Amino acid sequence: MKICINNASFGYSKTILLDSINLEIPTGEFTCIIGSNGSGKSTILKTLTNDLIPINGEIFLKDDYGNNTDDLQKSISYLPAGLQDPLHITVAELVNLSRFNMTNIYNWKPSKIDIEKVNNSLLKCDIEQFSNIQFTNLSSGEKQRVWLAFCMAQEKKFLLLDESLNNLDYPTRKIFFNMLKDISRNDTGVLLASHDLDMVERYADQVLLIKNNTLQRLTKPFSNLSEYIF
Amino acid sequence: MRNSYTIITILILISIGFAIGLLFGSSNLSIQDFINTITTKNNPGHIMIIWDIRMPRIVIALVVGAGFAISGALLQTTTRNPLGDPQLFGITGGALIVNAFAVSGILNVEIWQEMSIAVIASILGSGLIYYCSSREQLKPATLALIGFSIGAMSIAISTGIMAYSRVFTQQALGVIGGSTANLTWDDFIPIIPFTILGIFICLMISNRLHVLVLGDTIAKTLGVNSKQTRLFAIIAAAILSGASVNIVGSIGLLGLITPHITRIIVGNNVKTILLYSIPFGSLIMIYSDQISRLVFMPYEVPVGLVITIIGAPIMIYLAWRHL
Repeated sequence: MKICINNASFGYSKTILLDSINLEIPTGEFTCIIGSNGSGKSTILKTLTNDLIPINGEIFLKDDYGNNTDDLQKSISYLPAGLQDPLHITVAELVNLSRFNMTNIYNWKPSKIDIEKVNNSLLKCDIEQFSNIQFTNLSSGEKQRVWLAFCMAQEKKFLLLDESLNNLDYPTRKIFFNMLKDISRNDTGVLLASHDLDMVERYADQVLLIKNNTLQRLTKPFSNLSEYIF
Repeated sequence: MRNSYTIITILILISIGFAIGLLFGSSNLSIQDFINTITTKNNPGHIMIIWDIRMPRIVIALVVGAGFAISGALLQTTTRNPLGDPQLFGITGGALIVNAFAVSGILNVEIWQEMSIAVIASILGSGLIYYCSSREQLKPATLALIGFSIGAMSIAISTGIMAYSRVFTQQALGVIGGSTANLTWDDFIPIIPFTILGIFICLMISNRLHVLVLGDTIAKTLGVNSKQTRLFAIIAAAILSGASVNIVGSIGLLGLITPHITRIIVGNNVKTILLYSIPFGSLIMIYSDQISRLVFMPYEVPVGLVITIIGAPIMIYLAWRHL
């Protein structure tokens, strides 16, 4: 399965940040977008998640047999940047909500399968010991892992993260990137917008570099990414 | 399990409050008289005191308390703001001005019409707060400042209207301070459809409100339209609090403290809080009403003031301890 971006332009209503982009984001790969602040990393993610509409061109999902499907939004879990901490909610309650769906809207409760999946992702992200702790009482690294567990429990084919990991220390970032790599190996497409060039160099399968309003695809091996940006 | 004990305790306490409301009052009615009146029904004076004076007042207190409490809970959850309260957010402002017009005799309509106008005014007033809370990055403080300003303005306007029409102090206090005095069954009937409608909307969206705790962007990835949900929530809050304000006037702090107390007792689940706010609001209101009419008998203090005087220290404690 892959997300196909066909000759699309990204930007806000009047300003085009990136013009005529052709791109494929396949499952099973860890793709990173790098670029300086304001270059359009978040814009790409927001457009993929339907927060913004592409100015022209098209974005669609191609399944394993090469057929186009329009289930793109249903196949994406998205973690935006700068989330406000939800108040008065425990870690388990928060991750449980990831299984929310609109089918039984008046009386939704997590089913047994839902709870199993939630517990699984809590385990994978190593936060099951915080299950009954208030989210606001966690450290930033732990909060990050809770949100990651939230996305994992949704079991979507693509995981999009718009993350500023700047305030996390080296070991925490390493754990985080390791987890993302593991997720992508599980036949999930991971797309991360990041400033953490060292980590990107080490973990990414595919790097998309945004510079001077163009998108450039870099292939392995990556070295001295900072030279590309500046 | 723990919550079912809570609900039983509340129901018992409400029943006790109900009994106090029926048995005690400025006209001296002994328990013997009370039982006689109920069983033999041959003392029209006593029947009137119990059935037409004390009873409607208690029932109205229960309904109105629930209304304020749910609308506070709705506002706190939708705006992700612990300051959510229909009065603080200025939602009841429209209804308050309608009240002032009615008391002054400028607006002279049937009770049903008056309540409908009040609810519509309340919904219009809430339009502004809806507009303000729809911006993702709006800070809780900004929202509270805007709401507070609208609320303060509407209190000033309604006071002005009443001063201009030379309304008696007692009546003016009833509008501004909130009062359940001199209410009859006629006052009670119109509030029922509005309360049912408000609670119905609230139940319809309670699941979506739960998701809204996570913030708009995340809610959207789960398929929840946060703006629409918030609109419904604020309309429900406006209907409930507007109808309540139309009967008893402005009762501050009730909508603010009840959800906080409920949260501490029944836990953080948004749905549980919304549901349990109903009996908690009724409970607080019914006891405050007893205090307002019994402590300085035969004079009455506006019930809104009683709630504020008792509620403020509780709120200070909660803010200090739990927020």
